Amino acid sequence: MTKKKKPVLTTLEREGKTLGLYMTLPAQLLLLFIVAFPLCMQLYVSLSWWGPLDGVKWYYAYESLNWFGNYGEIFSDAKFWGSLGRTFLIVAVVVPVEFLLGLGLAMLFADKFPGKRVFYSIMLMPMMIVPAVAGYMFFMLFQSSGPINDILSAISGTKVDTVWLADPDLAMISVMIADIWQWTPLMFLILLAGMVGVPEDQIKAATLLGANAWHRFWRIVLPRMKTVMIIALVIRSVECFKIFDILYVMTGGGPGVATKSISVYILDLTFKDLEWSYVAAIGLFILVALSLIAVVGIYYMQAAQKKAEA
Amino acid sequence: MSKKMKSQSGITRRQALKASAAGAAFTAAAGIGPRWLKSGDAWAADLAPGMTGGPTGFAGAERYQYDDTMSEGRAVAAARKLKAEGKAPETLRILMADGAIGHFTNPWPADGPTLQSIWERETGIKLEFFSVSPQEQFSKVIQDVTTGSNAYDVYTFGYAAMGDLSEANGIVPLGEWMDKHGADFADPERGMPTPESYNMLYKYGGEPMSVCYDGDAQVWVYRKDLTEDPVHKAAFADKYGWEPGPPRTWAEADQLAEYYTGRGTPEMLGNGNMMSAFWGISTWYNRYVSKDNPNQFLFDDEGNTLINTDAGIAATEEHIKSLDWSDKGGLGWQWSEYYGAMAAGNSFMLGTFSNCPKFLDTVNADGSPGSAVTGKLGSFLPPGNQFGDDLVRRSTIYLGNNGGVSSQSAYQELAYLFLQWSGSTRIFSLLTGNPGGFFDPFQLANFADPLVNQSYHDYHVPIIEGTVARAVPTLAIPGQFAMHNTLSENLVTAMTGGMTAKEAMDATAKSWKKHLRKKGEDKMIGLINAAKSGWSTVIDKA
Amino acid sequence: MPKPLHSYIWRYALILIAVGLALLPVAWMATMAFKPHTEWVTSASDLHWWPHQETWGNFEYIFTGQTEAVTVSHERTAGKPILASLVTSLLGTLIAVVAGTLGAYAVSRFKVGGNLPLGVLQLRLFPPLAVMIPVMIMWAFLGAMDTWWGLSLIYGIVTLPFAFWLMKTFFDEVPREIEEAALVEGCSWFRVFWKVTLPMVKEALASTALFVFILNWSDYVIALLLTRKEWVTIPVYMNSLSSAMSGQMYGAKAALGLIAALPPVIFGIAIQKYLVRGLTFGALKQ
Repeated sequence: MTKKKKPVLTTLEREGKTLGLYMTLPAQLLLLFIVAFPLCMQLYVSLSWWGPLDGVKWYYAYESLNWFGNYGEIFSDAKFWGSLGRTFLIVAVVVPVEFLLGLGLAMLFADKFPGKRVFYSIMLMPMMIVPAVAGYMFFMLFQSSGPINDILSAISGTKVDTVWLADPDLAMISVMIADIWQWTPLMFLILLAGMVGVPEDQIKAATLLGANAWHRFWRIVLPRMKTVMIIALVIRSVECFKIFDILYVMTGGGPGVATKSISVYILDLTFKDLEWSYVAAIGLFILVALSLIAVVGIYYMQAAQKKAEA
Repeated sequence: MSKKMKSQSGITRRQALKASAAGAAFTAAAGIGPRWLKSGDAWAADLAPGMTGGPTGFAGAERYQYDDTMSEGRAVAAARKLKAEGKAPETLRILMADGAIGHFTNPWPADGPTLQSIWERETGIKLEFFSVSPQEQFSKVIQDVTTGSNAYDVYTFGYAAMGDLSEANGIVPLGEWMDKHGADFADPERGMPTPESYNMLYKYGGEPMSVCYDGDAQVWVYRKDLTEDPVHKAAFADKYGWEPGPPRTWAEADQLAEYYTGRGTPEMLGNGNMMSAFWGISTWYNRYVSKDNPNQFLFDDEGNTLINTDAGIAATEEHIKSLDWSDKGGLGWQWSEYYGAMAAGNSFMLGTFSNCPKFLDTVNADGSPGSAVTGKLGSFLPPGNQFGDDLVRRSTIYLGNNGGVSSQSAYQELAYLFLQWSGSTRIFSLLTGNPGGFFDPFQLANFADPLVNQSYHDYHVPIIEGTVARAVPTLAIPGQFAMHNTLSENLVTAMTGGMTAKEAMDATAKSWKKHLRKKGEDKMIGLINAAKSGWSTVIDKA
Repeated sequence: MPKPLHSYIWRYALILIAVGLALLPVAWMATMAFKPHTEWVTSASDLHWWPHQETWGNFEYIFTGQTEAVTVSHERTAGKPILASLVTSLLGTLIAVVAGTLGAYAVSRFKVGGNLPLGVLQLRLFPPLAVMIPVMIMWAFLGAMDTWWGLSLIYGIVTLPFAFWLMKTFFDEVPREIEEAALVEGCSWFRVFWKVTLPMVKEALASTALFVFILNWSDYVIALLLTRKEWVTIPVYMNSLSSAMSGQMYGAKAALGLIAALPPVIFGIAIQKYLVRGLTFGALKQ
């Protein structure tokens, strides 16, 4: 576009830039609004021992200045690393499972069949349920005299009275199941869109050349879906890292600390331990870590895109 | 609810009117109505002679009425004075837990006025309640304190949080006002049962910081019908060598729990106690604090932890063992689900908040039982441990509800006066008897009150009184939320096999010590030792 | 070419299983909503899906605070929280979609806005709880606690990233030629955006709005911390549905949960067609 630019477009482009600045203004202002003060305060407070029990307002945090004391504590805080580890475990299990289930469903729904629209609508239902509500639902389902054990009893023929939410491992599995239930539909939706987007003539051509269904999928559909898949995985990983509502309602992070995710840990630090300067330090620590990952990720994606275009 | 209460109180409206009309006639004749009453205040005519305020319109209302020589009357008079001077708001804002506001908004007895309407008609100051779920209660308070929102004039919180909120400068000391307005909280005949219990529930660091609203000692209830059942009686005596009934010691309580697990229809569990995170700490405490004579403290006088001594580890091991006789799924429950299990007949006994029979042993309006255990409950003094001829029976107050005055409020004295009015022995008797809420009786006057006895049942009230006298505090020092959270996590981890009892107590002790160091060890040890004046010294004969 | 019968059977069998699993929890909630409190908690031997005695009592309870069978009344009713959820979610959606769409168009067309794409991305990466302390303090200072605008504003901000990135990818897809043609004819840039480009992406706009709405509607923790009484939302109110008489009020919670599911479902069905395309984030343009 830059090579054979008409003069009329250059003035227009200048106009466009001006308009563009105005158009980004609302978003920029919202961003500034939510970033400026919280970031400064977070940074300031994180350099002190200040907390609600000091009995002074946050701007007096300098009275208990400790510089990097809180940051040092992060590294020796077993609870923090434990929560982080559990959060990563949840992401590592839940996201691939959701991905595979979503992909399988997308394959089932890829072409037309009678009743598709109805089934499709129902499949999206879990996404529409408020996560906290879903948490209450699964809390009921997983009671030892609840429906899940009832169904398992019916299938196995023996009385199952597993205590799901009070066993450390099973509680974790229960939470994962609930999350998978809620978010597989999103994966399905994104992947289905990707699959539908593969041009039909390519598939037909491959069929005529004698490729079987597996080959068609592996050689033609899958490569075209690569970007969609990456996007689906990234979105779910990012959202899943923040997992809170469904988990908090189901187990409150328990039993003990068995399902305590990083968000639950931060909430505990905030309102039970009242270590607000430490929360500030952890917040900044996570922000920096995630931003690094994001920047590196974007860099690689752009590089890959350029390579593909070249 | 109102229907049921009418049938229970057994007093017809006509009788009530007759009684109050007689009183009114006397008042009018004697001409001793309070000066400030306007002719429009129809209710004022119903007051007993000489009384200046209080509930009207039901038989026995005069028991809760007051004049200027009584704590409530002085509070109202002072509030009116403040209002006249322009030192009162239009509306007083109160933060209170869900399920407690009914104390003020539920008419009771059915013919009577609500407490809210009594306060409003006497002072002209409106009340606005902000409700919050009990688990979010402290979060809301601390949030208001630290953000400077000034959204409430009165906070309510567990008594143990008095330390947190005092240190955070969230609440103001009340001692001066208590003296100035003559509160009857510590009245030896009507107020707290013992000086220790007054220290425990009103004071922090030796200074009154809040007004207690809720006794909340853990009181035991059990299935009396099953211990009286001849079959069980014989089988139990055969096995353990004593007749089933109220246990005196924890060993006996555990035998009951063991025996009744799997009995009855539906099959029940012997131990209905709260074992879950946050709530279950009180069950552990009950067991722990009676491990020494007169008390098994949490810290010795030098500030060393005692929870990881042999006594603490033994208590923890017994606590874990008792899970054998309780619903394993219960580890994920909240208090209300333990009530529900008891109500459904799934538990044999339960040491819990004292209002359990108030909510469970009920009759519906149509005369049908309100729960599966209506008419089947009994209660007993907390089990303990025997030391020679002494039997140390102990209960703990872990949560509770206290009212404090926000340091941000522009109407602090008025906020205090509301607390004095509602927390004094006459109005509080009416308040706690009201089945619309969960605040429990703890004052001597409450235990003697017929309406309280009617709600809480005759068999239960003396047990509550005895239990409050034997109750000890938990940790009531700044940072107790964090310390309790650690204890709770480690206990549950131990119960689910992730730690041994010793490991759990060692880890908790270590974290508690670290906490003390961080908050200033000398100061914290001083506070811990000062709080020991709140520990019960009542010892029973073995 | 016709497919063999057995492939259809397999497909329907698998789809039915998937649909069944997706519906199971919702079905339990739906039937629970009509169960009287005696059937909320049952022993395993008496577990049943269909209520023995269907009742509207749970709905009555959450809307009036009392019902025949439950003796403890509730001071709060569901009417206000439902309204609060609707108002704040819709306004939040409006803020996010307007700011996001404008910003996305500018970034997509004019390559302005510098830090904006990364900035909003970071906003979404970050667990909201880690920054709630300063936000609480700020909101209290602004008097935004427990107000409709305070909650709408934060909703608009936390869902802005979704609106921005979704819309940006749609704008990236719009062919430049159409816009350039309009420009050559003398339209101003803003007119082109308003009259040419926006109509082309209106379907995308609808699906973006739905997603942002669902995210706002789903919030629990922000409303928990930034409301007190007047603007408490559905999930926060649901937290209060337990009583000493019957433990957790499963029936009432289920009834409320059912109501809470309605707006997203209605909205979703209305724009179902565009949903699939909307969510690919432009990955299909190649």
